[in-house]
Amino acid sequence: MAETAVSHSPAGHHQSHRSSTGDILKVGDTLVETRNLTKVYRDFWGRKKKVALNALDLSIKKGEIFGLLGPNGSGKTTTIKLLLGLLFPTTGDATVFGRPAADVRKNERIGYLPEESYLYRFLNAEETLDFYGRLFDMPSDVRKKRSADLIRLVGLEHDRKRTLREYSKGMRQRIGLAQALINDPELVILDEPTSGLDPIGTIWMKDLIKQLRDQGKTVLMCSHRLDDVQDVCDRIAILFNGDLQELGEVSKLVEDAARVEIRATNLRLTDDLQSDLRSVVEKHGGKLESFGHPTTTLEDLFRRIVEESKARPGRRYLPAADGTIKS
Amino acid sequence: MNLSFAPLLGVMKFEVPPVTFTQYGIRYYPFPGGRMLEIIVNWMQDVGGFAMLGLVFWLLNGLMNPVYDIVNGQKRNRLVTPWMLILSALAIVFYLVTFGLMWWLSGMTDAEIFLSRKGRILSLMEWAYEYSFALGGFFAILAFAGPVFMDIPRFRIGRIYAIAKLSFKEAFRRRIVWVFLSILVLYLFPARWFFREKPEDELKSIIDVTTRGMNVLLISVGLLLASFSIPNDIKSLTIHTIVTKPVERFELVLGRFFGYLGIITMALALMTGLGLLLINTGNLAEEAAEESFKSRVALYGDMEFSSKKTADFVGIDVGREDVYRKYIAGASSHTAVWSFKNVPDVSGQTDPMPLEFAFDVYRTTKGEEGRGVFVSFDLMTHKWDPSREAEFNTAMQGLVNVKPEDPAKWEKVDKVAEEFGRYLFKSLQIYDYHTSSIPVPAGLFRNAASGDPSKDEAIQVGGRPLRRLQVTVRCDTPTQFVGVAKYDLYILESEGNFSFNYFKGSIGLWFRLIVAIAIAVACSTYLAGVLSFLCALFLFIGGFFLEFIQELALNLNVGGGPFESLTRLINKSVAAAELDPTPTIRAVKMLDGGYRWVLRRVMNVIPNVDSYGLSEYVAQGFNIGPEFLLVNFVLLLGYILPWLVAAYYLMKAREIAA
Repeated sequence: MAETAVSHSPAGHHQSHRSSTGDILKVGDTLVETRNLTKVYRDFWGRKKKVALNALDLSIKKGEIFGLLGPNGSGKTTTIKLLLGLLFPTTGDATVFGRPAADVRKNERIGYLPEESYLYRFLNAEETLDFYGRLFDMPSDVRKKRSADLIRLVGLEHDRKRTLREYSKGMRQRIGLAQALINDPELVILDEPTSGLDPIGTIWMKDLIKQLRDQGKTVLMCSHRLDDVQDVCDRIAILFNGDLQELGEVSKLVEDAARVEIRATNLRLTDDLQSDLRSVVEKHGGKLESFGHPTTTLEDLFRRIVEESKARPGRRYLPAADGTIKS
Repeated sequence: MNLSFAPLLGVMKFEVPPVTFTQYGIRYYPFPGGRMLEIIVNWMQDVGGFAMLGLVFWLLNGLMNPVYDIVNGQKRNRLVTPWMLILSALAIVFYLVTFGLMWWLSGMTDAEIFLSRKGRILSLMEWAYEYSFALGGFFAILAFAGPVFMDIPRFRIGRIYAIAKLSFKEAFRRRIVWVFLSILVLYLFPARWFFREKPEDELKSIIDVTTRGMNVLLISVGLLLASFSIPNDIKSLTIHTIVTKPVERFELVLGRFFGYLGIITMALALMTGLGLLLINTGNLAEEAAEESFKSRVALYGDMEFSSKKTADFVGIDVGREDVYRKYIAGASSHTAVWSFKNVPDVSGQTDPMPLEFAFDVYRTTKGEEGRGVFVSFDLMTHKWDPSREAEFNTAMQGLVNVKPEDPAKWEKVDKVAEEFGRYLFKSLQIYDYHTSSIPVPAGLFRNAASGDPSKDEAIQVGGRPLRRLQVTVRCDTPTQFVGVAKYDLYILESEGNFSFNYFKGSIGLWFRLIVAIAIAVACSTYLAGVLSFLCALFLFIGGFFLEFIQELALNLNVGGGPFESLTRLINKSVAAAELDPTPTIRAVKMLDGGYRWVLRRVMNVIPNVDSYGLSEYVAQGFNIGPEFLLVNFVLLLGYILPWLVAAYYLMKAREIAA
């Protein structure tokens, strides 16, 4: 994947976005705020069908990666749609950059990647980005440069002339992300960003999200892939049945204060070592629960194999000469 | 100018004069600005009613479900602005005045009120009613459409263009347009390949067939594209990536509208070009070229019938179902008289000017094989002095029916005409609906142009105002009748370019396409694709039956409304018989009244697409004046603007992701 910086806007362009829509915000300032935000779906006759979101109070600060977690139907996507003005709240209100969610002017500073890549499939990648660039009223030269940079960033240089109907789901997700970044947004809203991506694509997406944060951008994402959220998010909100169940920093929420982890190198696993360790732990009032080699994650293994394969192309796994499987 | 558009020949009729900015003065209607002001006032009344209805819904919703903005630390309801409330209050005040006046005028029936707008002189109370009704509508329109206009500065041409361009690509890449265009080409084949016709009607048939083909196909493509675009965006969720950009939702509506209009306009331009190529390069029959391959700029007069024996002679009804033309009997005292308020300017011109005509011949006997009917023309100006009849006859001896091909004699004719203000052409043989002409000496027009008719002594027919020139037509053949109508005779002022006129004819179709696409796009902001298509199609086709709907809505038809008709069927009562005012009949008539009220509202949303059938003029070889196009364009805007405002609100109030 090309290691290209996410922000490419020429001097002045970024500034003009901000000046047209509001003040320049500092890291830590509130970017998104919801107060008593509630959404009730009703049937044709106005009867209550489902409370999709119930009195959500939330604030997202500039420069953080905020994750919305929850099972299907918990209200994650509803929250995002309310913030984007795709749905109207039943009660309560939501502001983004200090503007009401229904005000389209706030969108100048937002990039949105929907769950599925809802793009026009008769357009190719270049045309797609050009179209969305025009919606931001970007000048032609800026549009062209930005499109080329983003196509390179998402690794679709060789497929830029193919129409999106020929793209795989992962490729569509990549071009979807490119369109979300066309305006060099300050707030990036990602709905299930790793959906449809292969492990390498998932890793790339997570790195990119972190890169966005490093550039001072704010990311709001929702996902039900817990490992993804844990890897990238600074803070999370857990929703269930439309109610906010938990809110806080990921590191604090997942910290297990009742247990202590000890890691060491250059040691061999022996009974003596285990016995010594047990006595030390017991001396301090604890109890040794497990003893052994740590395991790496499948993601790390996969990443390592792919990196090695790139460095040394060719078949890596070979059966033994007698036909047995070589381990 | 203002009367140069009426059709002349064949089955073509135009009973209501074409709309212009200047006709209909204070004499007929309390609108000193003429017909255009009348149209604007009626528009404000009709559109204002719908705007008031929309306003009530919007205000109720906005007050019950407010959306607050914090402006300078104060909460402000974004949906209901103070201006909206002030203008609504003004509208309500004027509507209350209108209702008061309506109660005052309740003696008049709906049909009378409607017809009164068409020419009756109204009393002061009626005048006040019309204007207060219009002002109520005006303020309701301002209140309702105000937010749209306030949003306009936020619209960006670039964004609308982007969406329009997207619509273009979509239509072409999905190959929708190509399929229809390939069918359209079939309509460009010469009409004579498919059916036989009179040689002189060949061009008419070609234009008729190509126009019908273009109408059906382009309108159906336009409706299909426009009806399904926004619903498809919503269904495929592609709209999520658009409205989450800084795009006003109405920009999406405008982008789609202009995009599809652009596609259809291109197709229309292409077909018009091909049609012209076909006509200009095809071997057109000489008779057809003579009849229709021209663009006549005609000057029309008013027509009246006259008879020495019958004082109120209004022409004979020969019993034809079609009552457009009335007839004068051959070898009788019946005449048809056309009077011209103005005459062409012929200063410095010696060439004669043609007086063209085409009459219907109604035979009561077979007549002679291959021969037509003979008619005579008597042209006199406002300066003609009947006491000089003998002198005129002497001067005209040997000069009757002289043609300009005999220059020496024609010069004398010209002089006599200029001197006396009269010119005769006797016993010209004419054929059924065949365009013929007689040369009129320029001297006669010079005579007519001089002086002031209102001050000069002049003969009068039926007490009508004095005019500069009048043409009296008689039928000379006994037992035969000649059918005439106002637009059957005209002075041919000049001839324009046929191709340019053909192009102008296509503008009429373009107007229809604008209407069709606007309705379809507006419907699609709320309805699903199929429903939008059916709704737009229903309204559009309804436009071709507007006259009939009008009759029903105003109770001008025989037999009453549907409930009365049903009662008549059950009671076996004939349509023309008066029904006894029993309680049942009164209830039935009340139900019909309700039905008519609904129909009148429906009538207001049906487009008058029939009035855009300009290609008829082209087919008949008549020039389409720029003023006519302009007036129709203004009417078109008056029709589509309310639709676009409705689309604005429907789109804005819609939860895209619901």
